[in-house]
Amino acid sequence: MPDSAILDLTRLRDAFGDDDAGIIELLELALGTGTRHVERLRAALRDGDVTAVAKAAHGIKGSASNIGAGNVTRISAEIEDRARNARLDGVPELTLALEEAYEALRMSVRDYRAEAL
Amino acid sequence: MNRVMVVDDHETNLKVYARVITQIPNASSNAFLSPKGALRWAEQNDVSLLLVDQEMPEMPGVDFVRAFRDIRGRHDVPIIMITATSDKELRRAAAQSGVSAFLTKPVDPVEFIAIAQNFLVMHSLKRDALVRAEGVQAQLRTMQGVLDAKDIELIETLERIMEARDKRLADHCKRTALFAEAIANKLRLATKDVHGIAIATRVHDIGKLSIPDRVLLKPARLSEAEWRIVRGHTSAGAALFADRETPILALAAQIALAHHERFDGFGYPGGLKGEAIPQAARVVAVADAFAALTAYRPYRDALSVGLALDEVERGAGDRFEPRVVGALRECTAEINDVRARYPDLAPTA
Repeated sequence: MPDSAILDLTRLRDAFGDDDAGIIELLELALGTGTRHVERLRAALRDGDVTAVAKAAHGIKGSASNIGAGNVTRISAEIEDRARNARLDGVPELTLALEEAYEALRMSVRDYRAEAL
Repeated sequence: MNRVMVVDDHETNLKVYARVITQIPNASSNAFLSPKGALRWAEQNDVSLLLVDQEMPEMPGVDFVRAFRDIRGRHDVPIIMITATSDKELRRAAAQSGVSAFLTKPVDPVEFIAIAQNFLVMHSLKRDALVRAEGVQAQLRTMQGVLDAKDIELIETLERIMEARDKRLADHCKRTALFAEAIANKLRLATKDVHGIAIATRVHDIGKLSIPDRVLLKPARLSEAEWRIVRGHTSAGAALFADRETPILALAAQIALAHHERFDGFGYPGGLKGEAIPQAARVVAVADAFAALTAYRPYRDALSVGLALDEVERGAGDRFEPRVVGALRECTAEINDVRARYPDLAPTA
């Protein structure tokens, strides 16, 4: 079982039942789109565009929360919150943390796959 | 099968929602990453429930909901909006644009299924009720048609009675009805009103049956006392249809009573003025006068169409409503057609 702060499968279990293959397919899809969203977030950050930063973080938060990726959800929520208040201080650091959270999620999914399939 | 439409620009979200929907009995999902693509699809396909994300770069959820509601037949589809924020103002705007319920991310599958099922049941009950109501309305229309047919039969019988007593009177009624119908059409009255006038006018002078032969068939100008008797035909005709409540017979009573009212208020029997005269009667007044002028009378020859139109025209504003007279002017083709179908009887020797 993965660390629930990184990946909490409760909701996905409600949706997918014991279809581990389905859950893993979805998580891998989420990891792929997550990478693209983080790139979008980085680009917005480079441009100093707070609105774009908020939007990108908001999108990440929404999908991450649906798949139970707790750390990714929390960090992206914090980034969104700051950007909505037109603050970018600490956001570069948070973005790094977000990438680390995604990396941890990736490990978690890999372990889960090894265990389940 | 209930179609649940899902619109979210994040593929992972779409997959989760679609998967949850598979757990709803009797439901299938149609998932869209592009709101615009979803709208195009919804134009062609019925939807039982819409699940839409609030924040999409291509089109905000609120705008999507408005556009969706504007599609024909989608105004009553329940809509669940999924939000990642609890922004009250946004929710208020969404609710005003037609959102039925909100779910907050992360979406709890159990909660979602319960809500979706309730909405699907509600929606299908609503649709069933609508179909039933339409059925009842169609039945009512059929029944009204049957009732109308009975009234038309009665009118036809009355026409035969008139014909047996006075062929000239029966012909005058037929011609007047056709002229009145043509005028009503030119005035762009509602189809059912035109139809009603066309039928009810066929007995507008039925009250003349109460006039004794010595007056009704008198081959000369009438005395004042005799005119008084003739004027009674309006009330006498209306009395035949008193208390009849079906649309055609009620209209027949109205026309019989008021077709000699004058627009300036100096007509009979009520002395009604202008708009106080029922519209159908204002139309028949013109048709009746025109039909009389173009027909032979024992005390004068029939007028030509042109002279008769001029004569009616002179009455515009005092005897007749000017708009109705104007409409008669436009009826040349119909007038000629009626005169060909029901030629005036040659004067009897």
